[in-house]
Amino acid sequence: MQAARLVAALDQNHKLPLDRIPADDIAKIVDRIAPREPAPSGRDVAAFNSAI
Amino acid sequence: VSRSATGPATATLTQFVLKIHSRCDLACDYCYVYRHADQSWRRRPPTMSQAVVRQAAARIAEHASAHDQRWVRVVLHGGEPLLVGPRRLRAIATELRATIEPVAQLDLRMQSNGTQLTPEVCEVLRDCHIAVGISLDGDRASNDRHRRYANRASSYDTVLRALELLRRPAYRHLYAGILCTVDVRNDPIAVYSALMAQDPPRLDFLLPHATWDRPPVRPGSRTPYAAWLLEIFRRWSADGRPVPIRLFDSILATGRGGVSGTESLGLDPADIAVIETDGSWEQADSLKVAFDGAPATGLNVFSHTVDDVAAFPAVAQRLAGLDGLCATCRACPVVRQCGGGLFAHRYRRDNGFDNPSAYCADLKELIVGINDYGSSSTAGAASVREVDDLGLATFEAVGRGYGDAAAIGRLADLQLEIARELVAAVAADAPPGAWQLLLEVERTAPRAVRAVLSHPYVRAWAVDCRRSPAGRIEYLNAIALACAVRGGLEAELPVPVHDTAVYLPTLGRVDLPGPRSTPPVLSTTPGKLHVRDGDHRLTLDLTAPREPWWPSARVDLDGLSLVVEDSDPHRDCHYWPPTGRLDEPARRAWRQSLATAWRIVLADAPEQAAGMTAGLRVVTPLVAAPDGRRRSSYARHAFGAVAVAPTDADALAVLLVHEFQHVKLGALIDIIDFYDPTYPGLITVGWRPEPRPVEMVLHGTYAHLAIADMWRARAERSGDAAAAATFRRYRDWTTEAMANLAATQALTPAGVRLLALMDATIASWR
Repeated sequence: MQAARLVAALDQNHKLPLDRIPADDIAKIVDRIAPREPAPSGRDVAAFNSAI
Repeated sequence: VSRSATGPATATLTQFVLKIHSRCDLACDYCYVYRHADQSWRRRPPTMSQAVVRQAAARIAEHASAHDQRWVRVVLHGGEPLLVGPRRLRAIATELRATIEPVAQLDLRMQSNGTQLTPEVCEVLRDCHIAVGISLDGDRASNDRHRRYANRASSYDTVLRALELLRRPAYRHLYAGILCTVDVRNDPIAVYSALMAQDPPRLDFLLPHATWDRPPVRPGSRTPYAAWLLEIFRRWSADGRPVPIRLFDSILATGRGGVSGTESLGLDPADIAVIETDGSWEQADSLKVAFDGAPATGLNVFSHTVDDVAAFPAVAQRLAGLDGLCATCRACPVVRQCGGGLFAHRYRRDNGFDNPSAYCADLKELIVGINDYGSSSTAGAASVREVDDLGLATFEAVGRGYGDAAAIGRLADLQLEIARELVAAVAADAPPGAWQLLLEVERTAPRAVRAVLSHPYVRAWAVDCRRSPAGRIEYLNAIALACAVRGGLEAELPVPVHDTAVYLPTLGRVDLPGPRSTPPVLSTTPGKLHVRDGDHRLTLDLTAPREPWWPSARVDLDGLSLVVEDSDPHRDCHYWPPTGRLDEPARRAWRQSLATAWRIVLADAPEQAAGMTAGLRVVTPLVAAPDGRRRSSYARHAFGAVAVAPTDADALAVLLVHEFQHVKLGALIDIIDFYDPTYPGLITVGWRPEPRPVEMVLHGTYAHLAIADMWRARAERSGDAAAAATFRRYRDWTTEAMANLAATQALTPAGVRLLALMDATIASWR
C-alpha cells in the first residue's frame, strides 16, 4: 500500500469503532506492518541493539 | 537484470541468469528468444539438468569465494522457467542455495510470464525465498497486442490471476514487480494505470528490442518512445512516485551522480552472464536480436570458470564503461546517464556494436526531459507527495532529525491506529469475552481504550500473536480488563499468568504464585480489583501499592511522563534481555537517574526533548552487560519505548535521545518506503567494522545525527575539546554513511528526500 493511501486509511479508521474498521484495510495494513512470514534471515531488523 | 551498486573494481561478475527451461507456453511476437536473429534455442535441451545446475552453482560459488563477493544474484529465466514444474524448481533452488550460500549471500529471483503460477508453485517460491517478477504489458488491449498463446488466445486473465496470488499476504513478499515492454501504439496512461492497479512493489519498462538493421517502429514521430515514456514519467511524478520505476529511477540516480539500476542505461559495468540449459556460458540475452550466435562465447560451465567468462573480449567490453562506447557516444553530453543504451541495440551489420543505440534520439530526449523536470521547482515537492497525508510539516521536521510535540504526536496517533488494527486483526482468534468487553469500553470510554492500546508493548504482543496465536491470544483478556478499569466499567475475565503474576497493561501487576489448574479470574469495580485464584480470594485497592499489587512505576518529570516498565510480559522484544521486577529501592534509583538525565536532555538537546514529551512513554530496564559496556535498544514494534541498562545520567541522556531517534524513524518506516527492501548490498559505515544492511545504516545515520547535534551543543557550551572531538566523530560517521547510502540504488525518492533533509541539518551546523 502506498504511503498516502496507508496514511489516509489510518486517519479514516482512527474515527471508527474497532469493529467497524474495514477488513480489507486491516489486512493490508497488517500485511505491511506484521506479515505472517517474517523477512528472510539476515534482513530482519525489527529489533537490534543501538550499535547499528 | 540489474546492475550491481557495489560493482567490483576488477572484472568480476555478480549476476547470473540461469536458463532453466528453454521453451515457453506463450508465443509473444516480440520475443528475443524465438522471434529474432539468434535461433540457438532450437539446438538446446528444453530443461537444464541437475548436473548443469550443480556445476553452475559450483562455478558461481568458486568465483564469489575467489573475489570475496558478499552477495550474488541468480535470476531463474527461460523461455518460461516455471515450465520446469514445482518439484524441479525446488530441487534447483535447493542446489543453488546449498552450494552458494556457504560462500556468499544469494539473492534468488525469477522472471516469469505468470501463466504457470499456482498456489503449489507459490509454496515452493516461499520455501526457497525466490522473488518473482511478472511480465505484463498493461491493460488487456495493450497486453494482448503481443502477449498471446500460439493459438492467439489472450494470456491476460491468466496473468492477472497470478498477480492476485502474489498479492496475497502469504506471498506478497515474493512479488518482485512487473516488467512491461513498451509499444507506443498503446495509450501510456492506460498502461501505467493498469500496471499500478496490480499494486506492484516496482515497475520497469523495456524498450522493444531493435538494432540499426531492424530499427524501432516509429509511427508518426522521430522520438515516439521518449514522448510515450515522458508522459508516464510526468503522471508518475504527479502521483508522488508511488512505486519505484527502474528506468526512471536509473535516470534520476545517474543524474545525481549515482549508479544506474539497469543494464539498459548508464556506465556502470554490466556484470552479468547467462548460463543456457546445456551449460553454455552466454553474454547478455538481448544480444539474440543481433545475429544468429551473437550471445555465444564458446565457453561452458564444465570447462570454464566465471573468470574465463569475465575475460571474454565482448564481455570485457561491456565491463569497460565509457571506454567501451563509440566515439559518438563518448562525445555526447548525456553519456553518463545513457551509457549507450542496451548493448544489443547498438548493433549494425557492417560495424558490429561500435554505434550509438538504435534508440539514441529517444534516449537523449527522455534523459533531457527527466533532467529538466528534476531541476524544476515542482519535482522536489512531487518526490515527497506520497507523504503529504502524513503532513508535510511532520515529515520535514522529523526528517531533519527533530520533530516537535505536534509532529511526534502525529506519529503517535498513526502508531495508535496501527496498534488498533493489529489488535482487531488478531481478535478473531481471541476468546469472545475480551473482544466484546473491548468494544463496550470503547463505546462508553474511548479514551481508556486508546490509553491502553497506546502502551508500546500491546503492539509487540499483537505482532507475536499474528505469527503464532497459541498461548498468547488470552492476553487480550488482560488488555480488555485494563481498559475496563481505566474506563470505570465493571467486568470479569480469566487472565493468563506470566512468571507467577498477572499484568494489566498501563496499570500494574498482581503477584500470584501458583500452582493452579485454571487461570485466575479478575473482576473490576470502581477503584478495586478482585482476584479469584482457585479457592483463594482477594480484593486489591488499585490506588494503594501494597503486596501483591504492584502499580506501574510512573515517573513524572518536567514535561515528560513515563513508566519504568519492569513487569510487562511482552517487553522482552528488545535486543537485550530485560531485568525482572525491580524492588522499591531500584525503582527509586531509576526515577532519580531519569530525572537527572532528563535535565541534561533539556539542556543539551532541547529540540529533541520537545518531541520526546509527546512520544516517549516507557523506559524498560535491561540486564547490565557483564563487561560493563553500555546497553540500549529500541524495538520496531514498541513505539514509545526505549530500553536501557543502568548507567550514569550523562550517558543515559545520550542513550535516551539516541534510541528515541530509532523510535521516530521506525514510525516513519512503518508508513513510508525509504528503500528497496530486496536490495541485497551491504554498506560500509564508520561505527562498525563490517558493512551493514540499508535499513540499519539509515537508522544509524538518523540516530547519530541527533547525537552529533547533542555533542555540538555540549562542546559549544563548555568549550571542551573532547566534546568537540566527539561531535566531529559522530558528524563524520553520519555524513560518510549518508554518502554511501546515496551511492546505492537502494533508496526511493522518499529516501533520497530524507537524506536531503538530514543533510540540511548538518549544513546548518557549518
